Amino acid sequence: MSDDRLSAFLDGELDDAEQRALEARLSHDGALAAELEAVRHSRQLVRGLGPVEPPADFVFAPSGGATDGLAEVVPLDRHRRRRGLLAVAAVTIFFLVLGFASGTRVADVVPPVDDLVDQHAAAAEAMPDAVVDGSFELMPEVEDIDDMGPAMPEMPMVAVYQADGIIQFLYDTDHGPVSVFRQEGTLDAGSLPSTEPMPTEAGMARYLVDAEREIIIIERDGVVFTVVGDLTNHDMVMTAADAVPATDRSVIEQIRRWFGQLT
Amino acid sequence: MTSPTSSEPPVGSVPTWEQVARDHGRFLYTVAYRLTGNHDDTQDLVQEVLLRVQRGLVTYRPGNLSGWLSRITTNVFLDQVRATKRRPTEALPDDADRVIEGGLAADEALAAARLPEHLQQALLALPVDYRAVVVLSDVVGLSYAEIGEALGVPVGTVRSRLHRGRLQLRTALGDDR
Repeated sequence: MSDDRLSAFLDGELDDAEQRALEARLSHDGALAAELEAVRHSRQLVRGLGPVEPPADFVFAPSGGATDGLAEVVPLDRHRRRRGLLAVAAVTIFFLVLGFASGTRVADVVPPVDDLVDQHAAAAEAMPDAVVDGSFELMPEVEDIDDMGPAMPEMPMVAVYQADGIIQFLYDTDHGPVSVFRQEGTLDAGSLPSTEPMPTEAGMARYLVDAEREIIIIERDGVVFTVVGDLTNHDMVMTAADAVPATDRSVIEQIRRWFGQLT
Repeated sequence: MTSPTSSEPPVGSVPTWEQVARDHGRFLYTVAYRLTGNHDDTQDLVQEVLLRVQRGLVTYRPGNLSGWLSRITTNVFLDQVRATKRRPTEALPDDADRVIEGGLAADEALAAARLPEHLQQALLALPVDYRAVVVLSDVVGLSYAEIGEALGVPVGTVRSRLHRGRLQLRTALGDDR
């Protein structure tokens, strides 16, 4: 049965008691979680629609009114790039390096979302085996690559990259690539751009979307995963988000040794 | 979501309709297009809204100008739909007879390329009351209370219409995701 609290939940229109009650129910009601997912997806699609341009010869004037003195209409800004995240990325990577170098766990992590989205796009373009830019490096080819990241039978892993404490697992799917980025630390959700709660099999995640891609951020046992995939490949992005906690720490240690940077 | 790029008028000031047209014209156009789904009806709607803005500015109390404009747009749209007893989704398709200016076809194509046409069609397939709430919430960004005030319905009605509208959108979009 449909529950209109779900839309109110996504829109931040529930009071605290309603929200807690709904979250508790979502944690064990798969059908309700699926409905939340459906509503969230619709909501994001509509919100992602861009402005509509009028025909060049259309004049903004009242019906039958005069048009004297009309100034040129100021175009809408279609680019809502979160440039502030670049600075966050730099700070995050700095502290990650510092943390690994000193052998201590980094306390708080803010995934550099814009950089990760860019890296995902570049890796997807270069797939399967190219070094895509100067910041991420490709892991040497090994036979058992499928055992390294979250196991998803319908999504073969095609490459692993690393940059300063962030490991990227790149998967291929019929509808486009999906990346799972992994970094250690606890999620500083308050420093993220605007996100929405989203249930996954691993627990409540954070969700955001840009014009073309979905981003799902999950913290599990001191590890932060950022899943990036095309908006048109939603099912596979969700599959990856559900699977990320399966990553084994020993595998990560193995990857680090392969990269030869952290041991 | 769509919003005007120009800043709202200073608190306490009332803009002229020319300022509204210049600074909020494209915002109005986008909201109107999401409601009507075609450029001809959109242009008629925008011009009618600007007429009401011109007349209504004398009673406008400075505040959320975007919300005020989107409220007028939605109510004019709903009035027109109810008056003509037809659904805008049944408007004539864009064809050669309607493309009377050289630039329009290109603009149509550009608009279609910018947004998934199937999503706009799914919006148009919604009952108009649901569509109005979805547009005010997810295109304009109004709160439930603001939407309720704009449409003259309780917040609970806003909530249920919005949820049903989103679910219907999901159903209409089917596997295309």
